Amino acid sequence: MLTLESFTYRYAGARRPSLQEVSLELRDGEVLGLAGASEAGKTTLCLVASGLAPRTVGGSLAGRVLLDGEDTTPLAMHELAGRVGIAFASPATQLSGVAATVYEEVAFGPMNLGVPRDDVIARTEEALAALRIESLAERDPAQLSGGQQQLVAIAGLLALRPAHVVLDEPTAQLDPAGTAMVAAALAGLAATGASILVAEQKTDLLAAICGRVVVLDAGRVVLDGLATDVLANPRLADLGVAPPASVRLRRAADGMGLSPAALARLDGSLAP
Amino acid sequence: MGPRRSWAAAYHDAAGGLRMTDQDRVVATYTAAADTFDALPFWHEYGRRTVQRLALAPGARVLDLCCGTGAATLPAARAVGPSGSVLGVDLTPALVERAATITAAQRARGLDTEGSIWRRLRGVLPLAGPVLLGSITEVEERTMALEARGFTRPGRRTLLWWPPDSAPQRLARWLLLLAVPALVVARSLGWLGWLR
Amino acid sequence: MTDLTLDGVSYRYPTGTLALDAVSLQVRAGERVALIGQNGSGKTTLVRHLNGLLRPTSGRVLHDGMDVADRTVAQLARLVGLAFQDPDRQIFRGTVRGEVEFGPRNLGLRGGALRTAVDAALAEVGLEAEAGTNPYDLGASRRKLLALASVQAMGTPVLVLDEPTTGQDLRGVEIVKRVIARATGAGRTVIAISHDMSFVAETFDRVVALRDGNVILDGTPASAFAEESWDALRSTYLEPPLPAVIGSRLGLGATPTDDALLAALAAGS
Repeated sequence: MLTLESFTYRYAGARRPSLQEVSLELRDGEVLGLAGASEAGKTTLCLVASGLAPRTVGGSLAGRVLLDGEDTTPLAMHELAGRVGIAFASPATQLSGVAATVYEEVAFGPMNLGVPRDDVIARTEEALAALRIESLAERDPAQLSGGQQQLVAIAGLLALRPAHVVLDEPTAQLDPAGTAMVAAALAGLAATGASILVAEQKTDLLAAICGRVVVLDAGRVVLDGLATDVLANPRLADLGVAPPASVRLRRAADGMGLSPAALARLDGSLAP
Repeated sequence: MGPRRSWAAAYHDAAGGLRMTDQDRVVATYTAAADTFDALPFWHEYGRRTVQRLALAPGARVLDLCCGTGAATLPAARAVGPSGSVLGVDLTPALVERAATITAAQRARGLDTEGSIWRRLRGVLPLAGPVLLGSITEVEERTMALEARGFTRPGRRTLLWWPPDSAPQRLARWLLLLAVPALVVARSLGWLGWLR
Repeated sequence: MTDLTLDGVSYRYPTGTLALDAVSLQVRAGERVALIGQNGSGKTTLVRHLNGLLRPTSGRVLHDGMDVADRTVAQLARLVGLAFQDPDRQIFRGTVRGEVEFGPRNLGLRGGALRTAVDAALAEVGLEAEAGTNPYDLGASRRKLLALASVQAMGTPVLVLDEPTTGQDLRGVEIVKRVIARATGAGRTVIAISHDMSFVAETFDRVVALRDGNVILDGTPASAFAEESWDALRSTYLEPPLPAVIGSRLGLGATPTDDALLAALAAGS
């Protein structure tokens, strides 16, 4: 379990904190969605959960991050890398740039960890299989589409066998085809019982794969509960978050004063 | 993300250091050496001497344009120490592509790249600015991605592949290894006078 | 007012790839057109022909019936403002105001006229309070709005937006919609590349879909997202917006937006 305990974080030189007394739990086997307006603190929370903040990013903080109850403060970044993996929005900048093939790119993490060679191979093949991208193994990562590069990046962090996976707006820069690819991969991953924290503007995606959703506003947690409840909460729009398309439609229908029969037809068609 | 980036300061530091003296001479030298650029120890010496002349203080921020394989970048990094930082920028296919997009975006806002030399000079900042700023952001993002995959772990990395090796190569290595004590012995016995 | 015409425009990259295949398209002054299609379908290549960044390898590009082949990009920037997808590919000034000034300045605006244009553009995207801020102290979404403002401030008769809502939160999308509404209200033509089908259905009068350099759909949102068009959409990896799907499921005809669907439901009961 990954826990943020009343975490406050301010970037170096920033006027106000990006996270204020945030408490959050990512349980094993859970898929937790993170929503919020731009600059609400989603990226910062992802960086804190993965350990990059404050280690690589600098800044001042109060509060603790715990992994299975253990305070992560004394751990170095490379020690956390194998326990919490993180993927970002930009496909190309996540590639190491030193791998000629997707296989080597995915193996990059385990190679850094210094595990035995057979273990590196096992992990790489496991990660490629988990995302069903074995067919990309011999390709040059730089020549792939954005969606494919994102899958390679996610496979690269799966190869570290982290207990928790953090994804910061993984589909933000992708076209619909790429988004569908990544969404399917995440759904597959969730089905295997992986522990995932995914930040996204696309609430339809969160509705499809998350069990719980947390909403941030100006660095604070303002909503935390079951995905179906949170994503149907009428406050979402005021908090700068677009509700899922079906919720929006249903709410508009309520506002229109349709007959009960018409509403029933609509509900029937919206059911999966 | 948060902190203020003052590219003007970096530019200023670099402008202080990039001393272009006799332009023709420099151009001729670079052109002549172009094919064997990084193979020449000349560049390492050149880089080291340049950094010496800059008299960089620990904690300084340095921008090395056209850094190649780091002839000046690495000595600069040593000079500024852990509290300073050095950004080396050179052409890669990705950078060329990015520069092309930046040029297109600025032209779309009316920047004239087809007019007189004076008009084109006005384009230096709008064209170079985003390249540098983008490089800074990209370096930050790449650093995070690398660190998140354990890149900074001290100690040995596992290698996936060993370079192809053959019996004659192994034999040659053994022979070279044996040659060293043989040469030492030969020298002390005065047999190979020309080895002085 | 500027009518834009592509007359049999083909574009082949130096590498040999054919990005546009004899495309003929006409956009009347004041139209609101959305260009959709997967990455690589030719959308970006097409819009770059509108301001001369790319020149056709065959065919012609016309503004008001006149071939633009001998006009420079700087000259065409007076007619067609193009906002690029990544704001960080153009931001270079130390202040928000300075950045927005760049475009209008290049077009010759000075003094009071410049200040007015910049103030208006900043107000439209909600950045008036940040005029003195360093653009990199704004988050990525607001930088994108800054890039939009910096092109909108040029006041060109045609405004082309490349993926204006990608990466934006709800407020950002609303701001973009308002900018587009005001632009067309003032008689400007707006062309946007987008892969947000709800945004497209709600904001534009005309939807043009590209695949492999060819136009495969060209019509109103109702026709572009009607069931007959779904095969064409899916062939370029696009999905119709939810109201269109529900409308089809309920046999209510073509209902590309929430409003259209609800109106059809109300009428049916």
